[in-house]
Amino acid sequence: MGQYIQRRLALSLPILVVITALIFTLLQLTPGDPLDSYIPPDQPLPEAQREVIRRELGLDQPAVIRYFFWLRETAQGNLGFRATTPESVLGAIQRSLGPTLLLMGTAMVIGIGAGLALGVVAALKQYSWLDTVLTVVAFLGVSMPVYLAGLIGLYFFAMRLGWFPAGGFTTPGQPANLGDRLHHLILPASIIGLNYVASTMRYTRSAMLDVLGQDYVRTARAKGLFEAVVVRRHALRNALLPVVTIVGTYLPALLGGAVFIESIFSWPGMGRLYLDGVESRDYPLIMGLTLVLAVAILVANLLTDLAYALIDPRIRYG
Amino acid sequence: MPTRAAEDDQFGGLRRQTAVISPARQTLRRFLRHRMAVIGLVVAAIVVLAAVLAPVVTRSAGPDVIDLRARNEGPSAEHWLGTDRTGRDTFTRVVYAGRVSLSVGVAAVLISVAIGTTLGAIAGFNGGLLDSVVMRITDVIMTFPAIVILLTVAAITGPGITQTVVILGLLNWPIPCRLVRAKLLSIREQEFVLAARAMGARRSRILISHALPNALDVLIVYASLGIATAILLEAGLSFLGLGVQPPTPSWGNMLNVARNVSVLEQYPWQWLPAGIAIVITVLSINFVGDGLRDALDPRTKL
Repeated sequence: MGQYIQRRLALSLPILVVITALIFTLLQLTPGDPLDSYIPPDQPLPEAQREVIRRELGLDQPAVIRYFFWLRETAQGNLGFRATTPESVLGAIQRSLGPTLLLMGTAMVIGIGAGLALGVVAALKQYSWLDTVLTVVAFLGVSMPVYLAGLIGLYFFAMRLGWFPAGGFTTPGQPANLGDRLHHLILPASIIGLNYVASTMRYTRSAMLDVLGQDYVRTARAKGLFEAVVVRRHALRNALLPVVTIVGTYLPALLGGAVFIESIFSWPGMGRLYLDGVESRDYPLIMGLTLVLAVAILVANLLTDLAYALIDPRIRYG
Repeated sequence: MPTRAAEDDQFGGLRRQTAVISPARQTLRRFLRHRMAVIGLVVAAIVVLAAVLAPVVTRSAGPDVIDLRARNEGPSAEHWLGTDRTGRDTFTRVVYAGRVSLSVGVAAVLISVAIGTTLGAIAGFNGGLLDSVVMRITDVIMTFPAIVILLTVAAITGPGITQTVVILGLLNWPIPCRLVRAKLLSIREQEFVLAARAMGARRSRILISHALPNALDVLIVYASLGIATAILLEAGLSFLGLGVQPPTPSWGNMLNVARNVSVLEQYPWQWLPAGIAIVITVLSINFVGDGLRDALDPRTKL
């Protein structure tokens, strides 16, 4: 197992180089002068001085050399500085990672927990009114874009009912405490969670239905086991495998954040940082965030594969 | 063992009684049995009709007609869904926005189907190195969250209708590519392909007239669900201000005004109708796609 993990990690290094090289190349295709994101073009500055700054930033070098320069510094843990503010890219990421982890972690706990439970119930009571209601809700959850759910939630629960604050991480000018944090967290986290509920529930339901039709479930029932034991030990454990795959695809968002909800609720997380970077064409920031996201995706894939082995003892990695 | 003639005689009466049902009719029957799919089809048809007949359906002369005496007005008999901050009729704009959003969705899907089918057919029919290369590319594109790629590429190309269509088309081709490839992998091993080859048909002919028509069903299902996804992504991009640009109305950029907290709170009729239009359209298209999948795949016959 340890060897397997090592090999996978070694294999992911070239993938990271390819992905970052790809994004870097894409960013080169942007029309316009990259210097413009550092110095707005409307700012009166003599051409000679612009050239000095260009040379200082290394923007006069060819793209290939600039990429390898970025790679060398990144390998040493230096992601450079943002184009638009004097903040370091690493600093910006560290500042945003906490709020995003909190938001997405809560959303996923809500979503996966409720999704699993409802999916199992829907499968056990197939074609009942409950199953029908849950199916319609799931369809609605998949068809309702998260930004619309966010806007409606903000309008209804924060503005009309006034139950929750209209965005932000904490109340400004107040010492941070747990109650205040939770108060700001619940609404955006539940709205993101709803999306996860819908998809987790659909996958769990179909996986459970698959398994419940298997011979070994009939055998388990035939030998007189309690239904709860059959469902939990025999059916659910086998149904978890496809569900783990879908949960694995959620994981990168734990670090990547939620662009729409963070933007609607002014949540100071990774998603909003990314949007900031894109809107101001802040290339060092985009590169750094892409790297973090790519690492998250690779780690999530590895964790998913390891979870398979944990759930199904027949799967072994040598 | 009965001869062919005797068998015909034996079953002849039965054959005459049961009318022969063509596969197309069977599919139609299965689709019509799917209640939600039929409702979805009717609703989707109404949405499309309203968009096509926009000048007839709406009372205002156009989506850009401003009326500075009627700014930010609530719903009334004159303006069914109220007006926006320059006095444009919200209902008119939602209907006209449907034209933009639906066309962007359809155009984007056409692009992704064209690219995906071509690459998927070549990869699936030839296999080998080309197949591995294409599959690795689809892997990379599909692992990255769609919205991240969308935002990055939108930052490069800048906003606009054409850009949005191209980005969405280029983003989504891996899905039809994989579907077509998977289908062709199994088709190329089947007897009728072998027969065609034995008769000396060229590879290109086998691919185009024997193999690809068999992949049509998965493409139709993808196309319907893909339009729904494309509409959602276009709306998301335009909501962030990186897609279709005002004054051209699209459902997404009509939602964009709600990023302003006072508009969100005081004038819900300016953004909510566009949101509801998105949900209704996407939901009905999803139901149609679901019904099509059930109808086209006879293995799921009840």
